[in-house]
Amino acid sequence: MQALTRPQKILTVMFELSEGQQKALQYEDIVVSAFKRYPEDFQLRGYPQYPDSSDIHKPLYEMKQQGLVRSANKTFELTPRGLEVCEQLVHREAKNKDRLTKAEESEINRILGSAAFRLFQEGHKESILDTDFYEYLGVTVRTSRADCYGHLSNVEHAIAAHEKKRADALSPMLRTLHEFLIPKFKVEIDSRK
Amino acid sequence: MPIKVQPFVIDEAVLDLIGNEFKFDHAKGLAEWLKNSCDAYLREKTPDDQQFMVVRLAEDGHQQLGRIECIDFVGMSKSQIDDAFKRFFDPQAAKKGAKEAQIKTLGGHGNGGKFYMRQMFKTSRAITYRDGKMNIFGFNAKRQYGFEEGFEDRKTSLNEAMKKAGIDKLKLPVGIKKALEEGEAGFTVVVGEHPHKAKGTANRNGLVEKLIMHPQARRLIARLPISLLLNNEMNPVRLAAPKLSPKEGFEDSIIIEVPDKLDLEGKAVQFKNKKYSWPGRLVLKTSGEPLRGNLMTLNTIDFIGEVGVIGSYRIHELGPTRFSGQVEFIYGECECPILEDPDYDSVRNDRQKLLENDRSEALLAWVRAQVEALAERMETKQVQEKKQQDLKNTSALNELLNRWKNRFMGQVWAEMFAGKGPSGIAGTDPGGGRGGSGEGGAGEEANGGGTEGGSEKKRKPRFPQVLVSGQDHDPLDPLATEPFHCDPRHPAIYQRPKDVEAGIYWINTARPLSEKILSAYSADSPRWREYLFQRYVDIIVKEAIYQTGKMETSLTPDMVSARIDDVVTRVHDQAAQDLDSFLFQETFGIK
Repeated sequence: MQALTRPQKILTVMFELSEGQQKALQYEDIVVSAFKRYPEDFQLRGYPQYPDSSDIHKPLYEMKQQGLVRSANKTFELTPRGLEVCEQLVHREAKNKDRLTKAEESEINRILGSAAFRLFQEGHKESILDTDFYEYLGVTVRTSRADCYGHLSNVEHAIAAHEKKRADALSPMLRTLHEFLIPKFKVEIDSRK
Repeated sequence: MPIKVQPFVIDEAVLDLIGNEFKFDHAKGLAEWLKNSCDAYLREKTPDDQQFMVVRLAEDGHQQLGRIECIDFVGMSKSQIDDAFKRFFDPQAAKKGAKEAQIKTLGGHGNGGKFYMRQMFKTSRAITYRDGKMNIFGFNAKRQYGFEEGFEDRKTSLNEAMKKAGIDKLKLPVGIKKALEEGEAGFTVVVGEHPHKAKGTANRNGLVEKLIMHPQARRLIARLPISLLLNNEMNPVRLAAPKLSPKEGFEDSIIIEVPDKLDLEGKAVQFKNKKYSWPGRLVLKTSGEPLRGNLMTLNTIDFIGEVGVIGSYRIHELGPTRFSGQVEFIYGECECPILEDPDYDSVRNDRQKLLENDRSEALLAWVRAQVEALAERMETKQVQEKKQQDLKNTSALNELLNRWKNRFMGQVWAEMFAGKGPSGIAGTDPGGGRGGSGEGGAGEEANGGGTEGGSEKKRKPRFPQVLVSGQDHDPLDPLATEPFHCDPRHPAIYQRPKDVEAGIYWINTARPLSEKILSAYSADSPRWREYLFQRYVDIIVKEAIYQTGKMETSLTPDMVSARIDDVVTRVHDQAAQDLDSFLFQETFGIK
């Protein structure tokens, strides 16, 4: 069994703190719990009896861009995909790898119900608007850039999972649409704070 | 079966049969004569600006036309008459006697001008002079043709010949006069006596008006020095084709290349082959005036083969089109040389309509689609202009609501959020009216405007600025010359990421409901004012929810619902006090 990486350790701590649910966690609670559980990884240099919050902040921010964590008002919460990753880390369950997970299914269903997908199917992809792209990603015009990247990561993960697990006629359509939308609308994400 | 081949014997009656099919009026017939004259010049390789032609009309004393003439300064020899003029149905007739073997001419089947002479006059003749010899060849009252007695290759002086033709006193350009005197040019006067009555062209004004509009003639008139003489006048006046001013916003011609192949009911139709390497192009133009009434015939697409017009279609003849109001402003021409491909000819004898085949049908359908696309663009522009006109009053209404909203939010935010501004950093923006009055606001929120990951602090309005799409310019684009437009599918209140940064909301006037209210009730109606007010309610609610989200660690549906109830109640109560006349009076004047 491979040792957990530092970000994975933070995820497992968050999973325990939230009791496997989507629940907002205070940043301070995460820092203290991570230090207690993995003192070697999260101690302040030179003061091993104290936690180092900066060791937590950066991985949390990276995981936010990966769509595993979201944050608001100094609280952090596991996303549905973050929960699924945690379950695999904590329980090491041998899940049915041929089926889409609940989070993947949810992403795909949102895409299939989006105006962007409908217009693409009808051959009117040039009519897809910025607001259709937001719906496709599951964000709004106010969603922060980091959160947008998190959503984008989840969509990419779900499409890749569809290609791997289902590999039906829908898979190439999802991929083509995604590859059309990203270059067209990426500026909508990058121009955000 | 081996046979001894005999020449075909064809009864002259066939000429009546075919001649009647031409359905001539005198404009169409004169256009044929002009084309023949033009071809005579082309055979001589005469430059365009020297192709001097005269149309002479003589009245009979009752203001009806008694004689129609077409004069050019080329002339025919007897052999040309024998080889070309006398021969019917010769596709090479127009090329006979040309200096250049591969010359492209306007004449096609060598029939139009002759049939016009034969069918539409009591008698007609061509008086022609070339190389010192005069020939007069024509049709008698029994529609038989032949040389006039004594005028078959008759040696004649120029003066005598011109006198006989009735052009001796004509004022001619110096170059033509010189060429005649030096024997480098001759002349042909085609004369039709006692023209049969034809609708719209029985008198001189009607005929001239129709001639300059005629698809076969108007292009020649626009390009070549073709002049007009009436009765005994001797000083020809140049004819001018009607000049159309383009529609505003569509001044430039639209040039679209004909594709190499077009689809016709699933079958690919080629417009390019070894002989014809260029498929052609469509040129669409617009007119500032609708092409109806006397301009009706210009509402046309002319189809040009290798040189001249081989078919003309009024726009409505191309097939049903949407935006019928706009297609009345469109005209143009489609060059497509392959239509004259002898292996798959699309040209009719009378050159009015194309011969029906896969190629012509595919091309007509394609042209119709291009016309429709242009008409759609024109329609869109017109709708936008109309809406802009409708929205003229909306700016003032919106300004009033902006001020009211700032006052309201200043008070309510102080109560609900302890003075925290909805967009983050509290307003010190000095911009006129943008930041509101600032009442009730109790200082700055240090944590920024609800976005994360950055420490940049920008000054922005304390409360959002609401703008109206289709009316207001984009304040974030200083170079914008047009109002900012939303898409009909954008939300009723729309923001771009940069609008969020700058605290701007757009009321989308392109939404179907908005369009409906504007067209049914106008921008001066209470319905429209109420619509604007409702969008402000949407914006205030949205701001309140985001503000709540910033203050709470988690936001549940119950919390959102309670916040909406709270804000909407406050908005409505305040509006009932402040906006009574704005919302309820039929007419509302802004002070």
